[in-house]
Amino acid sequence: MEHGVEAAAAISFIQINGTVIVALIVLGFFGGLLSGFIGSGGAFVLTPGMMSLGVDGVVAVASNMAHKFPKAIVGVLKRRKLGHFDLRLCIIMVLPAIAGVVVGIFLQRLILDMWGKAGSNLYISLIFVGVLSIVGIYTLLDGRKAAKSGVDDTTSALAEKVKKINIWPMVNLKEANSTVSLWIPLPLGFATGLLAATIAVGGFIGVPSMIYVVGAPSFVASGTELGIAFGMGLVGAFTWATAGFVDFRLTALILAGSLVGVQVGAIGTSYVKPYMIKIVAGTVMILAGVSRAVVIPTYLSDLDIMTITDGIYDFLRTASLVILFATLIGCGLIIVGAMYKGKKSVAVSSRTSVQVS
Amino acid sequence: MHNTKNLSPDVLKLSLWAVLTACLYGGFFLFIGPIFGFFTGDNVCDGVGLFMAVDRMLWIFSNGNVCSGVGVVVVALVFSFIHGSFASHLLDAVGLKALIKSGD
Repeated sequence: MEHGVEAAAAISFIQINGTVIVALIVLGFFGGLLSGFIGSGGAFVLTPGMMSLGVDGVVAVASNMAHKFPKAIVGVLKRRKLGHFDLRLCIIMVLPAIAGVVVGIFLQRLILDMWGKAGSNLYISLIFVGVLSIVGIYTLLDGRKAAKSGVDDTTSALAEKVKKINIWPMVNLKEANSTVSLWIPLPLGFATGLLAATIAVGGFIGVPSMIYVVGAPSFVASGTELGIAFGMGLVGAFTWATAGFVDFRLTALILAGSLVGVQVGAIGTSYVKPYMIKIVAGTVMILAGVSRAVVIPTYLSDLDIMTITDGIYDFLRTASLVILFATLIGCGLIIVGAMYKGKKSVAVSSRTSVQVS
Repeated sequence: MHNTKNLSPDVLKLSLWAVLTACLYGGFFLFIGPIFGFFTGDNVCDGVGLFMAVDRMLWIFSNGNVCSGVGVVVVALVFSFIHGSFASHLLDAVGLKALIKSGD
């Protein structure tokens, strides 16, 4: 099969039929479920999921950014009330993050122009495999360590060293309970934006850097990340859409599932130990990375870099889809199981309190 | 005649958000495309199917100009607000939302 011809073709939106509509809503639901459960945007499964359904990588990233930012602002409003949001840290990081988004979109379009959509899909998949493998393995090991020691939030030695760097201007971050040089969060924000524009997931850099470099508590880091995600998503969605890369049908269908899923996932969080959340998140990240890795030969074939048979080509595409959906369903079962256990314990405790009174 | 006083404010709120959400998705996927097509001269109302209507909608958001950019941002916010409110009220109505509070 001559896949090289496809590589040169212009970017195009997928045909929507009943199966695709159901698949996107289900994907959105499970993505939202995971997002509510682990407190991330969920795009690390949504973008690969959309790509596995045949959406071009650049359209998947653009449509995902448009789906993420409205949800982020709702999260910011909720987390601010709880004191989990540092406005000053958010402002310091969101400005370079927006610059990172603009540069990231420029790079994506450059790659698309030079190597076509197969090259663009390959670039996005390689970044996904690299980032998901590193963050997934680290999260999984951290979860195992916390499960053994019983301590969930560990302090960072690096953050203590960074706080000692006294380069003007120093910024006092009240909610993050830290004072750092302004020059520390700026490059971290830029890297967050660059990654967000590449795979629609900036939090993989933003949250760990706020915890391990700036020294913010994990709940403040994840709350502040929502504000950064809103700023990046707003500018990113506008920029992508202005260039005609947002397929709003995908955005709307993903939103339809994820807005329900995110609320259900948040319930599951209440009934599991934090290390369990890390183990689930790490496992899903690794498997989402695997689902991207298995299709890389098909993109190399599209670019005429390697030759594979039609049978293997189709098998790899199907395998990618099956791995991702099986992972999401498995993760959904764990969350629903946690909810069921929680509901049972609430029923028992309320019966006990009635008997006591 | 039904006595509306028997309906709790929560049920009324849920019904309101459900109707708004249905109108939003229905309007978005079924009507916006054909209406836009009418103004651009495409006779999309002549036997248009659901998925054709969905495809027509792309004209608005994928033109690749400032209108597409503003349109995507505004409509995404509207979708998120209306459907998000519906989802929140729905979970409240089926008793799942209370689990978050009790779990904490």
